[in-house]
Amino acid sequence: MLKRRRFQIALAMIVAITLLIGSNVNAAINNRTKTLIRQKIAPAYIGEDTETSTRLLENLLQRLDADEVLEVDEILAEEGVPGMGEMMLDARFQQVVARGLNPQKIKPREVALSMPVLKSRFEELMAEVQEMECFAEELPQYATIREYEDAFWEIHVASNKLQNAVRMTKYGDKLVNTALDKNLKDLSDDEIEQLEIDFGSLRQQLEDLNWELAEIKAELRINAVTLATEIVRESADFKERLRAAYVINFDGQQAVDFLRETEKEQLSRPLLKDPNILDSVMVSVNHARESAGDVATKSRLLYLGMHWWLRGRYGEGPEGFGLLKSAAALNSPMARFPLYMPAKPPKPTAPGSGSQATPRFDRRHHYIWMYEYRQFNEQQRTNSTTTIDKPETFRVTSRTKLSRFY
Amino acid sequence: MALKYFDELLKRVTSEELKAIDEFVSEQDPYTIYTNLSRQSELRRGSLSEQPSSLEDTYSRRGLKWVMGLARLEYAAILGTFTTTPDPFVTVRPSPFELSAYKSLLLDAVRTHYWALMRDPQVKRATRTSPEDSGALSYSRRVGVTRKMLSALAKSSMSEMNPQQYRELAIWNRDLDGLQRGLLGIIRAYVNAMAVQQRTLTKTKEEREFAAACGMQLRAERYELKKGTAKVKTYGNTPAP
Repeated sequence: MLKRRRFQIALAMIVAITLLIGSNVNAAINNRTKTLIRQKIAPAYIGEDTETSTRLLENLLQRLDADEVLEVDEILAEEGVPGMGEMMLDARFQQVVARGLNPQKIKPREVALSMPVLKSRFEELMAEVQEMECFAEELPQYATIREYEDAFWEIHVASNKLQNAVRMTKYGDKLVNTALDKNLKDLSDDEIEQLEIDFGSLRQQLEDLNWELAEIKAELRINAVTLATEIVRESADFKERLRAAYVINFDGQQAVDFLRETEKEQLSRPLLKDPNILDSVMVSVNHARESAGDVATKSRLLYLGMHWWLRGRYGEGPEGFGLLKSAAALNSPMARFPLYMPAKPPKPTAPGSGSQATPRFDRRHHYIWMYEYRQFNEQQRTNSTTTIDKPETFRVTSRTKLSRFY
Repeated sequence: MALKYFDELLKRVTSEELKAIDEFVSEQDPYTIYTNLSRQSELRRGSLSEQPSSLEDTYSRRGLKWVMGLARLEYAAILGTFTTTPDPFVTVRPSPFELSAYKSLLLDAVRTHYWALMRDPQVKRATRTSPEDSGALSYSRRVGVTRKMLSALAKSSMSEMNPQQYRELAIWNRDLDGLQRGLLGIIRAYVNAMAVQQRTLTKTKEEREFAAACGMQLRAERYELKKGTAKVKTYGNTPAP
């Protein structure tokens, strides 16, 4: 009897312990997973090894519920890296765009996790743009050409961001539509709801905002020409007159072109909707050019020279590690133009300073002699892992022969 | 392209305006140029090493003349590396305005290339190994453009150099000449071997193109050596002032 009693107590304890362990596995991530995050995933992300971090996250996601995903994000934040959705969104975008990964391979759960991140980025961007000074109820009237130049640069950067965001909405559409075609039984109702984000509507909002910026820029240009005209007539400072003459030449013409090419119905700003505005601006610009006299020509030569110099100094072509333009440039004047340029005005670094070199090529003549003959190969690595016994191997993906250098 | 606009600008501005333009360019960070890059390659300092203008000199240079000088040098270097344009570093005609900057950048370029070549352990190997495996063709181009830079420097700066600088330049010239002869020798042997083999063996398109490129380099550099472009006798034999 005592033996039977002891057996019953032992059995009850075993069942209780089993239930306790089972419930702990389901309720929170275990220590092994936490270690994986801290010692593998976060370091891989920091080391820019997104292949590894994405692969580990993809495997992990299959075992987590929504609460556990939040817990993982907290641990990732402690390690100073973004959450799962953001990490996977950026890594997959790179893989799809740069390496041709088929979006079909991205699982619906992952898409559901990353789409809210994408949506909130668009919303943050739109909020940031609408906070810009030029969106104030009254358009700013600047006292110097330099302030107008800074405003134009800020608008240019914002417009580029909006255009990139519009392209990203199409990426979002593609992922969501691909996910919705699959079996969604493993997704919760909340996750399915994330797949129903209306990227079409977001795209329209981004495009509308970009258009507003274009109108604001046109109106600022008209105001800048007015200021510039005063300067070329009255200022004794030759540098200021050069700047002003450039604004008249370039920004004045841009404003005229914008008004000429845009239907009145598309415009919302009252000044630009004025039926006489185009004629008025053209007359202003022509008078301003006359006032500038030969400073206009000198300004044009200087700014054009500086523009082309910047391209030669900082521009990188698509081939030859940035030293060469595409092979099509040999035969097509159009193909000679595209270059990758820095997003912000660059500040050169002192050689040997330890920071990333700007420009990338301190002197092009230090490197161009390396091209064996007027032909170069683009190569692709053929093995994904390398060991001492299996070093990197490459195959030539394209070969370009140059009959003349430029 | 930049030089086309700058050269035209120089024809139209007064000296006062040029001064204002120079200031205008100096005020903008992207147009800053660092010089004395060769100090990273120099094995030892010599009479041709760049001297700092002050204790605080960071070798950062600003202004239109530096901007033009660098553009002129890079343009000439492309001509000198890949074409048979004679005296490219003189042909590009630096303006009087930028000449001092151009010469400074040219000397820095000669120092960099010279010392990089002298310190490169692969260069000697390239004079003994088939060009297909050793980069002899690339090295020959590098030596070729360096000799052209040195030649232009000698012609333009002779009156400013002291005897020690002459001697050092002459030594560099001799070293580069010797190196080029070695490289051309191995390239010539390769081209001759290819010509013989071509009668009996089928060559791939790549092999034929490479041989053709070697042939072009031989012809171009033999012409330079024959003309004595790089072997500037004047400074080698100039007596001390």
